[in-house]
Amino acid sequence: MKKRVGVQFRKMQKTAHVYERLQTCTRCHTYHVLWDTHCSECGREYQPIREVAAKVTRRYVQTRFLLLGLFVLLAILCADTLTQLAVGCAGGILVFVCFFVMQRKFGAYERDVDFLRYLTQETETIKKSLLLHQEEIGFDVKEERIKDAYEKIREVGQFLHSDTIKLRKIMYLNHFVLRKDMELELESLLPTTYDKDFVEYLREVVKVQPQLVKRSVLDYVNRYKSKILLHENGEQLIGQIAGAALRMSAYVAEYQELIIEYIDYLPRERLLRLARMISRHHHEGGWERLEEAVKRRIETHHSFDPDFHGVL
Amino acid sequence: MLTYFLLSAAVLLLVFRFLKLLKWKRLNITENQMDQHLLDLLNRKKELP
Repeated sequence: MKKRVGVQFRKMQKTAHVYERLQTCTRCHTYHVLWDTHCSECGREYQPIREVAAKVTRRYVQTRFLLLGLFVLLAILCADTLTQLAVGCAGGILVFVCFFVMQRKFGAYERDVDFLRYLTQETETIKKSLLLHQEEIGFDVKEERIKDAYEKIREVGQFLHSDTIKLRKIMYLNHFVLRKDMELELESLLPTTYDKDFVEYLREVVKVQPQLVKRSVLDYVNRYKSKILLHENGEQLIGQIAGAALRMSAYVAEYQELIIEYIDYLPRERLLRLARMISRHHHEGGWERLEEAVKRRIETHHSFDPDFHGVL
Repeated sequence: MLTYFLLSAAVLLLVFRFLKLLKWKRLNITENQMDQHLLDLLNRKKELP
């Protein structure tokens, strides 16, 4: 068994959208997703990409405005009569007013479309920058700075959802003592295939933050049950996962088979919760087999426990 | 005459721009769609030739 170390992770910056985490150095034309505020190459302050894209749009709007201005100015200069001069001036004012009103009303939509275009154009550069971050992480691992490596890959993982990134995150996380107060993740680490390191991580997470067990995790456990059983104390682990599923009645209804199969591994407090849940949902139907299994378990192991009396 | 011609060119430019802006308004791209677009681009696997 590997020796785990206690660490305190850096607080993750909370953003409503992933793209808000992406910053760029306009001089070096590189992207950055970590916590640094200034470019390590040129020292210039990083800028949020939305702002940079908005600047491009603003420049485009300005050129359109200049083009219109040029037409209007030429129209005024080419006027032969006073009427033409008046029409040129009035028309010009009207054109400018319309341009401003349109810009004010629809400008935001143009910025959004341009931002999408900007993202598409910059994909390869963003990918290259993320790759550079990954190389940096590799170097941190070589230098045994696993905490730094994890904090960095956690940021990169916001953008890249490949199994490689997930498995590296799991590998690093398995070096640490996990605690309740940590910002842990589970669903986002689910690999597409069975992975023994993930199962070991799952064992630790379910002890400290069982609320992270969601439908996708339960599906994973169901799918790779036979392989998980080959782990040391595999039954207990599945029992713990089944216990974590008791947080919501929807999960209980959906994963009844799993709960029934591993009911012997449910801790007393979880079994009591399950029994109370069943008595509440008694009228709904479809819980009969589960009720049967719980009753049997209570009779054989908790018949003298006063807490269980009269629950079912 | 050239005055009217240039002025109508400016109006034409304005109409063209209005139609473009109207089209983008109809697209009504949300922040979540932008996010998803970025993630799709970054996580898209290159197609083999």
